[in-house]
Amino acid sequence: MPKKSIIRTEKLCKSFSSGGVMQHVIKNLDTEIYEGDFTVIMGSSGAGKSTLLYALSGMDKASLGKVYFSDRSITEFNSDQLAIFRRKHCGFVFQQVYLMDSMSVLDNVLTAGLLTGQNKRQLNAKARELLKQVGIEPKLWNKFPNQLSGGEAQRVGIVRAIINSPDMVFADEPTGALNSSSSDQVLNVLTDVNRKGQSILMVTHDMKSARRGNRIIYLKDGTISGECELGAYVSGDRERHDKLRNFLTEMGW
Amino acid sequence: MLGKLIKANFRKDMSHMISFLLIVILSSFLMHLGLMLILGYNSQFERKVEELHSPDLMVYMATYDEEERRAILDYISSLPEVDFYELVPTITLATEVVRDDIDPDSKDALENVSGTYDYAPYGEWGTLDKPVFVDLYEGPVDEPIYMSRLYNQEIFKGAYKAGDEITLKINGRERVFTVAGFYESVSLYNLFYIDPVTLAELNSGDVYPVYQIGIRLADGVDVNEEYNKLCNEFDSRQIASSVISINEFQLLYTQMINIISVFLCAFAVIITLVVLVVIFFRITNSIEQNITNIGALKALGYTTHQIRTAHILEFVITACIGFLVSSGLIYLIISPLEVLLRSVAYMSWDHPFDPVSFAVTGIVIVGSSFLVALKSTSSIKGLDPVIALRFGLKSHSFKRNVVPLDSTGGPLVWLMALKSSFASKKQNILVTVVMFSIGVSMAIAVFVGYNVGFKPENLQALLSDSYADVLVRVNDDNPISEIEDLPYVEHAWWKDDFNAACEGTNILAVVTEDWNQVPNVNMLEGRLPKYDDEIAVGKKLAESQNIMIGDMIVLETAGHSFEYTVTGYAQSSDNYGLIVLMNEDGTTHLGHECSKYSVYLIVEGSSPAKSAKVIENIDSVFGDRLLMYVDYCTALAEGADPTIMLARVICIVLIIVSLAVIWLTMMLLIKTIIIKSQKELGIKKALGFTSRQLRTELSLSLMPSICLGMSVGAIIGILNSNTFLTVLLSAYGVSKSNMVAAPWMMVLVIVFGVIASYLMVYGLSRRIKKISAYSLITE
Repeated sequence: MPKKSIIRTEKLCKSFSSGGVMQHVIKNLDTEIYEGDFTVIMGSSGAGKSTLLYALSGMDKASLGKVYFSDRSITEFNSDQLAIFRRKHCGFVFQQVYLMDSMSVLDNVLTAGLLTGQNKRQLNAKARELLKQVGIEPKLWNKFPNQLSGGEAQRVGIVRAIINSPDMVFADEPTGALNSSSSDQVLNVLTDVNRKGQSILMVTHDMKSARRGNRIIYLKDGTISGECELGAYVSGDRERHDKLRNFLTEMGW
Repeated sequence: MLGKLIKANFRKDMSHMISFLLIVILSSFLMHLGLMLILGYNSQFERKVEELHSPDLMVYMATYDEEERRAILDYISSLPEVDFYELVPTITLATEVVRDDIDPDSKDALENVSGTYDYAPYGEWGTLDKPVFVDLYEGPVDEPIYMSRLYNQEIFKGAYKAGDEITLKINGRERVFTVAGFYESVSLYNLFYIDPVTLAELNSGDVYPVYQIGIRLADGVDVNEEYNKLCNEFDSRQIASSVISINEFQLLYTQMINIISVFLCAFAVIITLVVLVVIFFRITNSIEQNITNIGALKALGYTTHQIRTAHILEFVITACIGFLVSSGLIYLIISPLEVLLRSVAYMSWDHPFDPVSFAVTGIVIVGSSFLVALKSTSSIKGLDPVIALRFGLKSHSFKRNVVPLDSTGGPLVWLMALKSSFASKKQNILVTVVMFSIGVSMAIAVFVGYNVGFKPENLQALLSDSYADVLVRVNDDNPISEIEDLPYVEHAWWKDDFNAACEGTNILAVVTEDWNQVPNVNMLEGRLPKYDDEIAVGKKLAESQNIMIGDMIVLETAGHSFEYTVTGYAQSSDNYGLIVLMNEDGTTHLGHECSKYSVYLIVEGSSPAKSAKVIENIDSVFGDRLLMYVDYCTALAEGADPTIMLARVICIVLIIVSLAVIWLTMMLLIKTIIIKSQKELGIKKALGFTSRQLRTELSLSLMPSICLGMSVGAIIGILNSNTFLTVLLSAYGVSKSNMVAAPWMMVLVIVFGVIASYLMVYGLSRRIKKISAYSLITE
């Protein structure tokens, strides 16, 4: 059965002006992201990975070209329309976590949920359930972000991203600021979530993280230089690991 | 090294410092101007008194008896306290001002400016109070006339300019004069200087026997004591006279300026308070935001003293610039302003550079800025560079999850706003203090605007012993019975007054048939007199002579004295509050026979239309016997009086400046909040909050502090507004202002202030709209 596309781009370009000089970060990029996939965007520093992620998620606007989300162009949306679009269809996991310091763990999660007008009672139950699922104990629910470890905070960030069951979770280097054991915990959570049907688009420059994806897109100088299908993640699958390594070597990583 | 630090601070805080600078300019402008006016006009008056050799007392005496006049002059010359006296060479003539816009037969006292005017020969002035001529007409003039600036403003409402023609009908003959110029004088403000030849011609006609005597007292003599002595002497001789002391002249020329100045200074103090809170807020926030930079500077070898000095100097330099700019602005606008103020000060002011107001304002503004900046930077003192670099200052101590979203009901944006509100103590203090200050000033603006600008009858009621809509003077022994039966007349009472002495002080006894039948008597305490041996005394008189309710006091007139029981305290600006109220039957003890031709009326609903109708009816009933009338009701409704206009201007200026202060403070605050919350705003935008939601959240988060500050300020302002007015008007004889200070005024100030603040904050937060979630997160 063919995969259903959620995001599609047509000649997507993103440029920045720096000191009067235009820098073309994404160049005429055509691609599709599929429902249920754990898509990973890789590439060297400055390749335009995060720029692409934010352009696809409606966090930032394309300079040229189109981005279709569920066959609807979001390129013409104004900032408020984009905000409403994001709250309904997207979830975000950031490298720096970006929980709101002044709010408790539970409130951080509920804020995103209440924004979509969900029933508070059901939302509350769902938030608590998800927090438990990612290993955040009830004793931490009323703590503030600065009282959590990096891994705990990132798992809360993931719960916040999925509380509205978005069409796509966008993860920008979610393990970039974490130690190895915390990274594993976070990646396990993302893998579990994906297995339950959640589409994920993740940017990383870490091979260990990339291994969790079933599809790898390699970005070079703002264009896709290669793609690799890995299939569903299985822990300790050597063959899968080698395939990824060979692909990355081929891409010049 | 220090210079570089200061420059770096300025570069970093430029937009904040511009807002701060504007607030400083506003506060120091108002303070400097207020002090400059109050000191300038009062010292100008004193200088004028010395330069012009003005009399300490001015006596106006009317007598046909040459011997009596001589006796009075002998009496004055015999007083050891009198250093010098002079009979001013004037003649008094019945004069009709012929103008197209004036009906010479009108009995309206406010409209008809005809009356008895005093003329003096131009060029033949004595040694006392030589006039200073200003605004002289340059062209050729046949029949020149010079009038005082005060008369032109007060009597002719500023109708004449130099070079204008004025037609006067004197002794049945019309004469066309040209206003050749105006003059300023302290005591001789009521003269028209004309050519001596013309004056000699006029002197042959029907001249009133009015004499003006200027008196200079010996050094160290108390002017008030001498004033009382002269008044009582004239009363005992039963001579129609009046005496004006130099203190009353000073009040006449400077009181309005003093009132304006007190308003300016009071408001400047309020804004200065805002300035200081802003300094504290800005510095502490700047330290929090830049703590790692401060740590780095310390690590590089900058001393704490240098870093603190850089922060302090940033604000002190800005305060200095603001102060100097405001001083420059003042000297730029002072010339046109001085011309405007002539209509209330009746004298020109040469506004030299005033070192006192300059120094006082500078010290208050710059000095207080320095002290607050010094205190605000104290957190840098014990800061370890390593701790600063690694952990920063503990600016937040979230210990309690206020407004938990899982258990608190309500719209998300409101709940988020409430959370933000609880999260920032310093911000709340800033907003509360600023709004409190604004609440107080707006409350006073509304109070003054309502009671003086919108309902000027309240001011009239405060300044008179009893409020009336209409006064009529009828040439009839007792016209009251006919008047009170006329349609629309609700109350009618006659009123008479005479001078008497109370413990050596000259007082005014105000009499009616029975005070208990008069509506709206301005009684402060106790009750009105009922019996012939009872009086109510003016509170000012009671204060000056320590008279208590129930005391027995002796009043004296020519050949009579009687002991009255004090039943209560009244209030009036007549005779500067030195009055007593007594009933008609009480006057017999002092040998006074009441004249009942001055009748005061209250018309139904105090309506100008009905008061006009009442006057029309009185005119038709009494015809030529109606001598004059004053329609206070219509005059107040029209609001052309300078005091009413001034109150309206003060009210509008106070509100505009209040709004400007809110705007500037909020501009600074919102910028700080946006910079400080940049990351959080970015996260919220990423989550899907719209700009409108974030702006609403930000605006609502300030509402608790805005509401609290504005409410407390409005309540305290309204509750104390009468006290404030009492102080302002105390020189007019007001001991206790009891004007309307209603709860609706508080509500109005709170509602207006809160809505205006909300709209301003919402408007100022538009910056949020321009920033994308992506840029906020990546910045």
